[in-house]
Amino acid sequence: MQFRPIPLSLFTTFFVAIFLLLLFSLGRLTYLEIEKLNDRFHNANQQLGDQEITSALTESLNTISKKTHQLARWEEVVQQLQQPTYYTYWYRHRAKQNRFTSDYILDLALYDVEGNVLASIDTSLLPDHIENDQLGQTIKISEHQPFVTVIKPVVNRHTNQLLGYISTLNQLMPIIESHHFSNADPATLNIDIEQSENLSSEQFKQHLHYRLISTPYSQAIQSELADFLLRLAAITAILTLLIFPLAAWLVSRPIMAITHHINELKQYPYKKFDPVKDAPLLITELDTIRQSLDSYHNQLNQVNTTLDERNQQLQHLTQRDNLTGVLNRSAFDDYWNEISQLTGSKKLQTFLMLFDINHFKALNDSYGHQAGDDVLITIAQLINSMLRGREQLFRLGGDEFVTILIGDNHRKAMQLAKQCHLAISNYPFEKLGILEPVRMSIGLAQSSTEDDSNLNTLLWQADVAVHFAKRPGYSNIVSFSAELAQHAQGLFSNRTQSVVFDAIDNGSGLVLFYQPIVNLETGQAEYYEALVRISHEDQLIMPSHIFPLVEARSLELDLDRQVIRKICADLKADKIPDGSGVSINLSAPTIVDSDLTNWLETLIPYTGQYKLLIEVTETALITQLETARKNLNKLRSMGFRIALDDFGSGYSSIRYLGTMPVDVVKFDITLTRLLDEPESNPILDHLAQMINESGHLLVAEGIETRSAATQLRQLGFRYGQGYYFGKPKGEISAKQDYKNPLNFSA
Amino acid sequence: MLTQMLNPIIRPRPKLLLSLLLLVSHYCAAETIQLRMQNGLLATADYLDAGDKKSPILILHGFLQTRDFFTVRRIADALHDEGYSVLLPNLSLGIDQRDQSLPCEAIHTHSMEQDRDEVALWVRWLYEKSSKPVTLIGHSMGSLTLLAYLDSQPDQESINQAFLISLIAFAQGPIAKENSTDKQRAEQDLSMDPNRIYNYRLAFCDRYPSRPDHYLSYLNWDQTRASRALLGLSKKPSIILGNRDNRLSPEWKPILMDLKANVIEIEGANHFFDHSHEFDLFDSIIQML
Repeated sequence: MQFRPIPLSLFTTFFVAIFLLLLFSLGRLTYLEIEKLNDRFHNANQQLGDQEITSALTESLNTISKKTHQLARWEEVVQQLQQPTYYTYWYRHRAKQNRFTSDYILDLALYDVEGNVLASIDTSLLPDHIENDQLGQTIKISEHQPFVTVIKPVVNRHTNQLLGYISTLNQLMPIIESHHFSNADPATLNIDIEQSENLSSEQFKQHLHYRLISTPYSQAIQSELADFLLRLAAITAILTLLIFPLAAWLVSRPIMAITHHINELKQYPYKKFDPVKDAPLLITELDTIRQSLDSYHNQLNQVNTTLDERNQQLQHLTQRDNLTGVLNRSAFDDYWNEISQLTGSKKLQTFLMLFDINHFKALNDSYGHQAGDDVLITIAQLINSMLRGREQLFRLGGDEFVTILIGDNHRKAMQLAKQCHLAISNYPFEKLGILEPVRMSIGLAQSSTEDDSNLNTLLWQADVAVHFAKRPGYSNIVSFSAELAQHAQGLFSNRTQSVVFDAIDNGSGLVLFYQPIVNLETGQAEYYEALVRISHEDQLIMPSHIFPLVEARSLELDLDRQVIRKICADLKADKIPDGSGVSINLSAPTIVDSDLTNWLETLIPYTGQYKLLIEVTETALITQLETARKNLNKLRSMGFRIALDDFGSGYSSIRYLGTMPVDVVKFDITLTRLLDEPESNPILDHLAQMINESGHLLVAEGIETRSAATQLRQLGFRYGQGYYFGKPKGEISAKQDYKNPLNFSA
Repeated sequence: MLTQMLNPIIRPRPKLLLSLLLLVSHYCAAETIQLRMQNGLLATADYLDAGDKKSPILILHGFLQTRDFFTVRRIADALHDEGYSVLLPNLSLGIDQRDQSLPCEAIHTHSMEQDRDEVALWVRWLYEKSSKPVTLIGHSMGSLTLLAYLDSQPDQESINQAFLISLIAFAQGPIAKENSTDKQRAEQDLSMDPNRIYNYRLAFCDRYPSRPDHYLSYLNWDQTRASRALLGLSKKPSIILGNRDNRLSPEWKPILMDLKANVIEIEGANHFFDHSHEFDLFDSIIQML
């Protein structure tokens, strides 16, 4: 059963009622106890009263008997019995007026030895004649009054001779009443019969009644107590009637007031209460409670306000990217959910545009995080400036930004992407201390009206598009298409991932394909570039599928270690023709790793027999430049040659040529293709010449035609590499001679 | 005078002696003697026997009293202790074997003559018992009764001597006038109905129920009658009076002095010689014995 709270007034009334009930019960109990005590006193007094009455009766009868006995021994009585001449005179003047008689003796008579009265007197109450058997004491009652008749013999004191008899009639009640009583009230003595004769004392006692003296103490106490209880009850009732409303007013009112105050606090949670200005409550404790409540309430309000502010700040923080000030990934998710709910079943053409800065990590590492941050901020501002009012820019993390275009067609989306790209490309990042050009890759993913593309799908599609936008041979702005999806399958195939990871982990399936680098002068294959492939179930997984996974998982070191082991194995197995060499592509993390030289020590025994080259990319050089330089110097001292790969594909590599211990410069295919552009030939010519003159050997990549090979030789390139000379193969033929293809004169 | 002069010297010895004797006397049993009077009543007396060496003494109590009245009882005990046989009779006063004093209001059926005769019987008994003349000591009316007895006895061989202590006569003092009236009334009553009981005043009794002749037998013994009796006595008694006795009429002592009676006056004593005067009284008696 659930307890229901009761109102204070009812509680107070109940309390007062209980108090009064207890008080009256206590009074009643006390009164009953006193009555019980009084009954005990009464019973005890009754017994004492009975004893008193019995004692008084006995003593009275004894007194009467004694008096009569004294009379019987009185010489005048003897004189009358011996000389009764003057008996009448004596009876009238002496019998009842002497020292032996008392007021209680009503009559007296003397009898001779025969029992005859000495003289018959008319007024006598006693008989004129008595019998011998009447001797003694008898009690008779007449008109409710007891009388005692005593008849005694009168004898000679010396001879005991019977001289006659004496009879007295005595009042009994006055004698009894003359006794001192402590319990019985002598004034209430009464006889319950009117007439009776010859009663014994015991018989008489049965008819004698009395009431107890109301004992002063008990009666006074009972009376006083009764009065006291009555007064107490009256005073209590009056005081209760007076005090209860007063107490209720004094106690209830402050409690009601504080209850009202609490309700007010509940009703107006944001109102500020001044604990000092409010009228104080009568009771200190309650007033303290009220002040504490006000104080707590105000503090709570303040805390709530602070919390609201903090929440807003937190929401801002959670929704905004601290660095760039644009919305963050969380806000992006919310935004996507919001627009999904807004559009609902109405399918709108939606584009997700993903921006990714090329080689941002290298930038960050080269110029420092502050420069990287400045680049991010600048790019965010540039993109934001290009976006229209309805679009929001979000930073997903790192160097990735995204925006969503709603209701636009592909053309407009592409146009906006190009504007953004152009703005970034045209921005003078030199102001930020960035000497290399900052390029942006943009991937577009489209949510068609037919399907239910979700955010993850669009992001994946945009990610794939960006991935391809970064790859050589693709535009910097790529729209996702089904074809791209097919290309990207390897990247995102779990099966492929598993095979790649196994190869990296334990080298299984890892195979090296070798592509010759041909001396353009001699037509001889000078050495072979080892290129990574992974063989799995008669299929080869190409680097385009391997490296994205490796880079995504940061497994460059592990892959390079397996590659070095594989090369070592191939060298040991004499797969590499004597006199030639092997160039090994090492990733940027490997180049700057402190254990690099330890790994390559296994190849040192082959440095005398083979040319061993380490190919590094520009990216590898610009990250941790100093560490890279030190490691490369060590490698050179160990007998390795250093080749700068993909020269011209990215940032300006000229700076590195001056500072880095590079022996060979491999011109990127993009530079090689400049041969097809006549206006660019002088640049290529001068560049090759400059590099040659600086003492570096030049290797041209991507040679696919004889004319290209010829031109490059003429430009001063010492070596060439490309499909014209041979595709990468798992096995190297015993002896290859490229004189004919070059048509060089022997 | 001599007694008075010696008193300061000799007083301590009798006092000490009396005290010792009183202690011893408790161990001396008194014998009650009964004598049947002429009217048939038995009269009783205490006889304190001390042998026959000394003259026996009869001590008579005052009016309506008994032998246990303190004045006579103490004198008796003291004399007995001195070696005197003492007889203390109770006048019967009309009551058989009377032991109790008789109230004034009681019916008085006795007379001076009967009292006198009872004294005579006791003196005879004592005289016969001891064969020695009897010394008589009376107190108050007892002295008057003894005087009446002595007056009635011309031959006083059986009498040794008499001490009449606080001798008083009827019809003297403040009530003399009333007694005179009552005497006249009694004389009238006597003529009218002599056997009836009348109320008179006698001595200290305001109500004295008595036959007129009995009443007159006492009342006639006034100062004149007593003086005449004293004058007629051959052996003059010793009369011992207290000079503070206010029961006596003022003229009584001068009368006695005029009669040449042997009056001994005890300084400061009242009618009953109580307190220390009983020793003075005893000293006087013992000196004269």
